[in-house]
Amino acid sequence: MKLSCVLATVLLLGSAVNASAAEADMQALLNTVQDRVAREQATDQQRLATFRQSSREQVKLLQQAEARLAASQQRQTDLKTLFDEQESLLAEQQNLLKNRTGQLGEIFGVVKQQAKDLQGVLMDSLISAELPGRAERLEFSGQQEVLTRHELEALWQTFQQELIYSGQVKAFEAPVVMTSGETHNTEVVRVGAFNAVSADGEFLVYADDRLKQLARQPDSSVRAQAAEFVRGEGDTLLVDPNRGGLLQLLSLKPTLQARIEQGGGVGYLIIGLGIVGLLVALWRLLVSTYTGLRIRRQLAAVQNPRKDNPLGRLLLAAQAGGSREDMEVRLDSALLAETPKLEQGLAILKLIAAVAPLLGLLGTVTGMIGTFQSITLFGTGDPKMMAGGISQALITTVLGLCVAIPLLFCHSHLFSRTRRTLQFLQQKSLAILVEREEAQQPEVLAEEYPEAANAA
Amino acid sequence: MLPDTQFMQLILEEFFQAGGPVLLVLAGLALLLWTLLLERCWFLVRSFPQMLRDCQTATSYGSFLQQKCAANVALQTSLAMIKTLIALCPLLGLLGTVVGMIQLFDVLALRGAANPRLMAAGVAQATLPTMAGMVLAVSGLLFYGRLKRYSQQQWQRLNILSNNWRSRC
Repeated sequence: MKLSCVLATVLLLGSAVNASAAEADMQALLNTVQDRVAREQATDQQRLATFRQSSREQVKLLQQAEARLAASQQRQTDLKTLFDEQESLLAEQQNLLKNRTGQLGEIFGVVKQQAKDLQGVLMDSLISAELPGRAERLEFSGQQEVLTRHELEALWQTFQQELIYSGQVKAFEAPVVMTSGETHNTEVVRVGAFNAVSADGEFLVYADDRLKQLARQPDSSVRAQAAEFVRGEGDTLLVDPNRGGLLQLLSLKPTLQARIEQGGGVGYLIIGLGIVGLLVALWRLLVSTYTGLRIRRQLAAVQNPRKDNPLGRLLLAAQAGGSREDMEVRLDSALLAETPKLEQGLAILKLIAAVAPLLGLLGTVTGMIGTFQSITLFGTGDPKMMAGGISQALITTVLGLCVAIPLLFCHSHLFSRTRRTLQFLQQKSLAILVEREEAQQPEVLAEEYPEAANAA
Repeated sequence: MLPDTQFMQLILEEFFQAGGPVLLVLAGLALLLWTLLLERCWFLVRSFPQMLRDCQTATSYGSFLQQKCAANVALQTSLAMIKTLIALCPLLGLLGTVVGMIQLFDVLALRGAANPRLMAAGVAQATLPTMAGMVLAVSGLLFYGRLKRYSQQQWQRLNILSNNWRSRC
């Protein structure tokens, strides 16, 4: 209590000391406040004046808008009456039209419908390539007017023209868009509404009002046939009854190269193996033919065995032996030495023939994995999605079989040839040696002859 | 009554067209196979008995060996080849099947599964070569078995003759 009294006394003393300075400050503050108030009042007055001004302007605008509205409403009613008038006039006119056409109204409808259909047919018809602008005569199909006699005639004449022309084979000049994008005027032979063939046997299709060269032509034999037909030498021609639709599907068929590319790495591996196998087979075929020739030449001159052929080597080896048993043993060992030379390369041939279909299977399985991946991504809803992958997978199997079948054939041929040669060598060399021995000892022959005759 | 050759030719053409290119290869194979089989039959019935007689009437061991060598080699010609050709028939049939399947899936990829008629060509190409291959293989096997047994018998006869000579020398 005592402490707070002391503190208040000290504070009062302090303020008394500063009183004279504070008085001057307060005066300045008062001046500032008065000044501000005066300024704000002036601003407010100004604002009020502006507001009043704009309010007056708004009223004026409102009046203008109302005047416009009234004018528009007036116009609307005017137009409405005009519309009603026109409507009744239209109804009147239509009635008049109906009365005038009478029974023909339905006929006109049918004619217009037919004309429209025929326009569509003409658009796709090859005959339009020969007679461009035919469809323009049928423009009336979209009009409301009563048909004239000329228009009716145009319909049946065009029909008849299409009928007659689709039974004709005719040559004419027409611009043809080549696959390169250039347009040439060439001679074209048209077979009814089905096919168009250029002078050099290229098949054409008609689309977007012009003849176009097919990007993917049929087989060369078919094209040669077509060229002969155009020259008037042949009387057969491939006709697409689907008016070019089937021919256009050709371009969607993958080429051989595209197919091989579909096979991927495994496909190339199989082809590589196949080439290696084929080379080995060719090499062995040449060598075995050559050896056969040598053996035959040696057979003609048995007396002087040479070292350049298996038979000669066998004979040379056997001659070193003394008795017949010794000779036979030597012959067998020499034959064993000959065997690997004759059978060289056969093992690898068989290996490739066995491995190729297996690799094909591998490619198929990897392809199927891809297909199943696409199934997990896109579901089984679209068979097209899967079919592509599956046909891709099967390519490797085809490649594997295509490699394996000829190689198996070659291997079997070479193998049986080698086995026959070996057997021939063994028996022939023994026979030659025995004969030679017998020639040296004619008494043995005489001794054995009767027994031989008995045995027979 | 004579069979209508023109009609048969038409049917054959249709068959080959439906079966695709593999069927042509199979036809070539069949021609080769049956030529070889008939040649073997002719050999065993006509040529071989003469060779056997030559062997039996040989005057010396040496000349017998020469005859036997010729007979042996002749006896084994083309049997291995026939066997391989028979084994190749079903393989070619399989090839045809796979080629047909590829065509089938091509059609599927182009047109979807909506029209089964479009796939019929592929199915024919897939099944006809298999059938042709099987028919060829089975008929070939029947003949081959007989021929093989017969030539083995002859081979044994030759061996018995040869043993006779051997025991004498």
